[in-house]
Amino acid sequence: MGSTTLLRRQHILPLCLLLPPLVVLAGLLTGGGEWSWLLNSDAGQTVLWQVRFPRVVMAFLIGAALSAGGVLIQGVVRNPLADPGLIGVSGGAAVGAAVYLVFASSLSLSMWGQPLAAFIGGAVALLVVMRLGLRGASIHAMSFLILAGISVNVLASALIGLMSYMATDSALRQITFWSLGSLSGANWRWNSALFAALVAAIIFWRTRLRTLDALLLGEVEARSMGISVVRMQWLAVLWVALLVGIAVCASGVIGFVGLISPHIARLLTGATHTRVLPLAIIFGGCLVVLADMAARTLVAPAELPIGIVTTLLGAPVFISLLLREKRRMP
Amino acid sequence: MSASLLTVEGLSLHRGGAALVNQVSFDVKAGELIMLVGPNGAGKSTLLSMLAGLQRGDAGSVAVLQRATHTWPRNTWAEHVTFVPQLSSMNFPLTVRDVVSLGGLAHSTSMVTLRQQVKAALQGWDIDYLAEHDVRRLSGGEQQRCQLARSWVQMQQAQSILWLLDEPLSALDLRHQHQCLQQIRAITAQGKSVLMVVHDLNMARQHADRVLMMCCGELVADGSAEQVLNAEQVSRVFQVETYLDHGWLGWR
Repeated sequence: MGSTTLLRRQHILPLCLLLPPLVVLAGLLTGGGEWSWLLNSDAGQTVLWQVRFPRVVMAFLIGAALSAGGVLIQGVVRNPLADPGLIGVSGGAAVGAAVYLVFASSLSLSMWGQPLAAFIGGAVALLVVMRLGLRGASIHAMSFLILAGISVNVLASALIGLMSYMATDSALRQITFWSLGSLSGANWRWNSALFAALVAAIIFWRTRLRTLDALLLGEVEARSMGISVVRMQWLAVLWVALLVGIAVCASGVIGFVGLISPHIARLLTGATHTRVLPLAIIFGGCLVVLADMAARTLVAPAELPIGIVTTLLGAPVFISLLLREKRRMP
Repeated sequence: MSASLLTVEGLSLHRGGAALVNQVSFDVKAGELIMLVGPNGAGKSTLLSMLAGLQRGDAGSVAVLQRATHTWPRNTWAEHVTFVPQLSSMNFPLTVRDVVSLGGLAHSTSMVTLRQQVKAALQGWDIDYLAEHDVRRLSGGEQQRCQLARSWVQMQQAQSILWLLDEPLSALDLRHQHQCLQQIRAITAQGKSVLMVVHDLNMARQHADRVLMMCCGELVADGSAEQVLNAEQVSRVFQVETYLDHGWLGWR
């Protein structure tokens, strides 16, 4: 990295701000129907604004929320492989939501009962993973965290399987929807919840991003710089569970987004969180909009579950990251 | 006699029935450069992390400027004491400038002051030509200078009084060892104190104002370099036959 990189760095964020409008426009205009029909007929207008627009916006917000969650959890566990889906947070949230659906929905607590259950499920999963898997920063420690995540994921899918046996038909459809991930349920209620959670997370973490940078140096280093590491870990657990919990309620488990977009952001600007977080949010949003475009068009008129598309994209990135860590191993 | 910056009394830490640090007492005066020596596993690093408030002892006390520290939150510790642990690995692409700037995290100083301090640190530790490089790709000595520069920035704040360095010279070449000692002397000249772990006993004999020697968790000697690092005592503690020749320790 030379001085040219530094010069370019200042232009990366403004340039990337151009991406979301372009990608959202592409998302709106992709799919069935001629553009002239979409733009000029009443039916076309309805498809465009009532069906596609909320869906594209939701795709962007889901990607942004998962990426923000990814950045936070990766920083706090000092592990670039810690994707919310991969380490079981999404799975835990899905279990929470499914348990609510099967046992508590008849109580009709309120519209927030289900996201609350998802939040609790995600937080519990994350706490278990961190408890089991946090050991320093070596490659062994990193694989330990991933292993802990895999075991939580296995348990989560078993619990979801159990729930689907107890579920009514409509609940079963909803549970299947969660485990594969889909944006077909897009509506403005979820969009506003996602937007609010994302904005709140950005405002809350804006002044704490340098603390996350310090954590990257190591736990002892961070503590000697005056940071209460345990407090930071708790804060991260709460915010990641909130962001991922709402995202899972809205769209089910969409894997690897929280891994890919922070990774691309770090490749472009280095690991400083003040630069990584906004870029990862933008990239994550665009990535899910693009993945949804692929999910809607590849096998049209049928639709692929979007989780499959993001996993197909994300697994190679994960493997390449693993190989790179392996090369670093002594 | 100048006032004590740090007073340690009867400090102990036991883990699993064994004493890692046992009944250690000493105090640190303003402007002292103290070198801590001892065999591997003697408890030097543990003692340092206790003096930085990172580990609580199960007996004894640490007082900073005659004030009890057992209720101090982390940021109060970081304002007064700067601790540099031995090098640990990192998984993220931070640049040297990013890392050095983090030394200002405990500060309340302005961005302008911090920028000046970071610039001075990069030059003072001879890493300005590496400023935009990824820390993970540096050599061991370069990484060590980067961590030292970061802690140097933390030491610049007004309340800082003690710099704890765990083997700061272990990866440095002769020129940078010299440079490191100059930086340390510039800090002690401000009336702040430095306590560092070293393994080079001749380095300690030449440069330390005072030497502490630990063995099996206990402080076995405390005094001037000549008093502590005599052939008989070094032979006994390190279990190597040593001799003194023209002020230099040798061994066969």
